[in-house]
Amino acid sequence: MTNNAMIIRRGLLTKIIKLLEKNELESGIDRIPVDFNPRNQTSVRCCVHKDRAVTKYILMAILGFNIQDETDELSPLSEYARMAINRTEHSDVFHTVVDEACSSCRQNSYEVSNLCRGCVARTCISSCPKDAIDFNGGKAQINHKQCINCGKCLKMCPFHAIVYMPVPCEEVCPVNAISKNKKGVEEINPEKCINCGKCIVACPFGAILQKSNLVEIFKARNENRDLVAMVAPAIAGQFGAEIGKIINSLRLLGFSHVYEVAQGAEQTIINEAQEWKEKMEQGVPFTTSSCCSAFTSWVNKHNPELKPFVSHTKTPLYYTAQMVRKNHPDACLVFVSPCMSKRSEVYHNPLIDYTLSFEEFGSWLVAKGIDLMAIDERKNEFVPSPHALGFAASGGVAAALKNKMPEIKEVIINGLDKNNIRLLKSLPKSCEGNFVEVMSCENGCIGGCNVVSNPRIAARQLKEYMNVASLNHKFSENGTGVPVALESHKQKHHSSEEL
Amino acid sequence: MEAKSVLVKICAGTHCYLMGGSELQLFSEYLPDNLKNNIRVVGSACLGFCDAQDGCKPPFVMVNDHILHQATVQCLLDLVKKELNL
Repeated sequence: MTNNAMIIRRGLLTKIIKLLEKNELESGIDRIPVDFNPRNQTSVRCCVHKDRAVTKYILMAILGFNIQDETDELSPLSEYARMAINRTEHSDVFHTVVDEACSSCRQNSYEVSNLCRGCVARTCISSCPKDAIDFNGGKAQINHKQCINCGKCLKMCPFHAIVYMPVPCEEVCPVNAISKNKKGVEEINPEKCINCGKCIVACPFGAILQKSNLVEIFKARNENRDLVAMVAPAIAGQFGAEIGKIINSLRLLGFSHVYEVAQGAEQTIINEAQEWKEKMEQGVPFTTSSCCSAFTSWVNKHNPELKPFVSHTKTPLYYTAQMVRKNHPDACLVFVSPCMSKRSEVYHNPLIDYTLSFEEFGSWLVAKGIDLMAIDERKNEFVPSPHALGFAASGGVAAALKNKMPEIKEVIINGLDKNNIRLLKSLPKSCEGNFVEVMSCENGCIGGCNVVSNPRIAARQLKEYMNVASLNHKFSENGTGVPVALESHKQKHHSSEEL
Repeated sequence: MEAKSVLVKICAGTHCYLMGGSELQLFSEYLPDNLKNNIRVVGSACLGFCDAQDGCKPPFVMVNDHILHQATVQCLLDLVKKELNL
């Protein structure tokens, strides 16, 4: 769900891209914090100066820096811009906490609110196993040194006077990788982090940011390298636009070629099915999907017991990059992605250069004044099968495989949350199916941390594209060889149509 | 008295869509059943308000002749009800 913190971030991305487009990053960037937070406007935080300071650090992250790498607070953004343009090294840390923006939420705790009536029953006291509650001035009071956050008092209070205050980023992290440092500011432990991106979405202060590759992408363009885009299947659910328009818009942004990663998914389906069959013959009880890099990273870092079950089949992005690199040996390959963990896959794959998130892509369109509703469609010759497109949503990988191997009995893990992690850990002991599909994000990639569309709308739109693709494939399988034009089955999401 | 009818035009241009308009695509689902017959919700290509330098920010929606900026589902519902004299 889009919130104000996201809108601010997208606004800043747009401003940076406008400067990059004009080649004025270094000379223009110092102005952004002031332009973005003018003196006469009400501030979001305590004052306009704090807003400007936070803006500066958000911009630093967009330039691709770790906020913690700042050595001199006086260094202006223009200096970072220059460093970004000249940089050749990158790290394998893909997000950063803006400590200035992190509000240092109080450690998750139970609190007695002023709704406490100081009643006689005092069930809060009798329910507390640690004797952590006493009464002061006729109101209950929790002694946090003794409290173990069990929540029993909250359940027992007849006035609902006890509240739970979470730390949102810590609450959603499935692997306890984010916690407070001595100053109370959140820090991400790279040893534990699986790059799922959930904390980025959860933080109500927008304090966790991905380090973007935008500067590098523009640098490649300025050096006259061909830019080639590979778009994730989840793009079909974004911006309310048909895939043909998305492809055309990327061309208008300066990409010389645009490939759909669904093309590589076709290979993943074939290999995954083959591997599954072999493993079954060897007597392995089940295999798991391997296309979600947050999941594979979770297995490697937190649950190696599952390793023997994870398929060795490569991701759709891997096969796509292999093919695209052959066609474009010197080009700059950019993966257009809904996902944070794919930044890690891109970093470790020498065939792919950079990642452009859906959000960054959208901001680029706005910066260049391109309206997807107003441009023409441009189609690729290759039209993916509906099964390959299905990889974008939870259940899609299993469905694609089942289409090849009807004897598959699937278990779907829709989102790596604490409950599903418990389930995953129990699988080696007992698994009700023989193929386990795991996607770290709820709803699958259309629910990724970089998406723009509400996943419900995205799912609907993806389905329509899959229907078109399915008609198309039926025709080519019939041997008519005539691809069904996409226009004849326009997706119904735009101009003057009933919503 | 004949019930007033309201035309809600939601800008689906890329700028509006990125800056929060994506959520408005679900607006029809938030309409109470008793109002549904009086309200027509349509998507629209860029309404052109985002270029105006008047400080108004996307997403934009038109409710009959009124322009709503920084529209959210809730403020849109309020305006629609006002337009229906509710």
